[in-house]
Amino acid sequence: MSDCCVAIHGLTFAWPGAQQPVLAIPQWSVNKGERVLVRGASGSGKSTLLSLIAGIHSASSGYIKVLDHDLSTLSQRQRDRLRANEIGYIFQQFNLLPYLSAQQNVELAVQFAPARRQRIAQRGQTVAEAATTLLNHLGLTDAQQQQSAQTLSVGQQQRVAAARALLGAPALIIADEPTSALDESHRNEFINLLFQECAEQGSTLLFVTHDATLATQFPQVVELSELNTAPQQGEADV
Amino acid sequence: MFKLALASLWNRRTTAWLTVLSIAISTILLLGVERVRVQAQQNFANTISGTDLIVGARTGSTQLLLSSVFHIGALTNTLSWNSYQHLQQLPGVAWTIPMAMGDSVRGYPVVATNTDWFAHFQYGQQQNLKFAAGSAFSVLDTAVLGADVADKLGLDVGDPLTVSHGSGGMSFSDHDEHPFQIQGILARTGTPIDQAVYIPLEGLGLVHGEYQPADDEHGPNHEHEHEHEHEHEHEHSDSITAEPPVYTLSAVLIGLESKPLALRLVRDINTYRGEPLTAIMPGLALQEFWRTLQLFERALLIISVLVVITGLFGMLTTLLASLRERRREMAVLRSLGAGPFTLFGLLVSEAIVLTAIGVSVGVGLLFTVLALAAPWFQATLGFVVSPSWLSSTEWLYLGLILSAAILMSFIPAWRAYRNALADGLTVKL
Repeated sequence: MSDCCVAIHGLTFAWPGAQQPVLAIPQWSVNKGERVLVRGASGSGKSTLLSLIAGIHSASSGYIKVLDHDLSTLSQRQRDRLRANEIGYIFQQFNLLPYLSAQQNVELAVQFAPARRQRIAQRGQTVAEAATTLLNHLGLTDAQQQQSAQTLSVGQQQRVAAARALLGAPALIIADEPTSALDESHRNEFINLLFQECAEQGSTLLFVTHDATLATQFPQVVELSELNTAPQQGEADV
Repeated sequence: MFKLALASLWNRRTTAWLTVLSIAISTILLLGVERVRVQAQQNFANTISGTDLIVGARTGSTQLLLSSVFHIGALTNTLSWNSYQHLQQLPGVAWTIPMAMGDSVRGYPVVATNTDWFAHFQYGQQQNLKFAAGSAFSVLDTAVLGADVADKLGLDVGDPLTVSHGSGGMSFSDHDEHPFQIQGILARTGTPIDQAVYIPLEGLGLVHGEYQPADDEHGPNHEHEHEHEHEHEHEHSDSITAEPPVYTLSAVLIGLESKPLALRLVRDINTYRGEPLTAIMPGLALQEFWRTLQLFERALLIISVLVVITGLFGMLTTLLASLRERRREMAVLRSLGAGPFTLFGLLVSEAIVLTAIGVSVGVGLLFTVLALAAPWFQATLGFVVSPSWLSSTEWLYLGLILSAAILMSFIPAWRAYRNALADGLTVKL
């Protein structure tokens, strides 16, 4: 078992029908337990990279290993299962299903993830207890946890999203510009909470943003433009 | 996962309810048409039973059937009393019922007959006529009413009754010189029998004797005592009497000793030399007539099937439209590890939930409507709608609606599947 959480080698990715690859990463790896900030301008292929790591899309060539699983050798179903069990994903915004309560949104994390359920059970908790614990840590009151997700503020919604990503201790947390809708004080608070919880569970954090001012908070910062050797054409950020 | 589909639907409950409603309405229509069709046919077949032949003057079989059994239309030709006597003597004839029609009581048809009518006429499953009140007519100026006639006109045993010439609702030639007295009211049958008035042939002879002395044997100078005598004679011997109560009849119903005789008798009667006659077998004629109605029936069925399809298309539209606003929801589920096939299943199960609720609501409403409308059907159409549980055909229709809905939901489900693969975790809002 290596220390690598994510390992990329000779990766290229082009959209179907496109001549030029949008991503070409000769070599990159993230070790377990690291907190890495990937910075890149809009259109530099940040989201594409994340969807490749999450196993939504497949690389055109080269390989991506997530927790020693070579994604290119896994079936669609196996990649979905790996994502469910081992990756917590936080979107920029609108992370939650508006018709469920905050707590139900968090519990949704284990819906497709037996491994996460198992880890919660091993710690002697029920899924509901684990969700409540996490939401408490992230500063949501009991009343707020039962509220419908759409009645929460954006800052609260992002914390619920973080709790959902963290529930059941997946190995990798991917955050795709999760703070861009927050003001500065909320942003720093959110990042600190995220660090704390990741450290507590031993999860690796891959944080993607265009915002260079966040760089000071991360022990490790990577510029996507330095990783990516594909010619930049200023395409839409897909 | 199913709970998630329900929660998601509940979030879009306004459009969901509308979809349910449109499916419910189309279900009501489809099942309603089917039910009316089956029950109409049943009611139709129930109007007459036990009668093996209907004989009238030369005419079409449908016309003879409709006018003699359903009181629809008038028979322009009549058969003579002599022919009636001839029919009685044919081999194998067990009983006969003479019928003379053409008069009416405030729009309700008058059937002049004799007591054989009450003794031999059968409807439904070989049921004999029963009296709700009073008894069969015993003297010539008494009458028996069908259940509906008594209800509608508010008449009871002992009340007087005026017969009008002609079958219209309003007649200028009331036979009010000769009022009849009501002697009996028949129990409800749910057939056209409920809608008619029954008087003795002699009574008809009397009133027509007043009106058209040339047609009938009863001149104005006839005494009532004479009529009584005459009726006595008639009751005692069905064979040759000196003076018939009427010269002509509209139709004669015949019961046979054995059914297989019917075919031969039809041929014999149709080739009778005395006068041109038509004999029909009511069961066959009913079927034949029903076949002519099938075009109409099919048109109704096609319309209701189209309405069901419209309802399902409504659901399809709603589901497709919802996909756009639910891309975020799909992306979230996808990020949580839901496979594209899970999203496919989510859409299909949504369609199943909508259709199942719609169909159930529709069936519920149908039974409510049937319960509420049954008295109206009975009163205006003389048509009994029984609130029986779903038939196998109706279950089949419900199953077809559900299957069609599932098949249709594959379209939005397939799109959700494709979107899941193409969009991944990013959503272009």
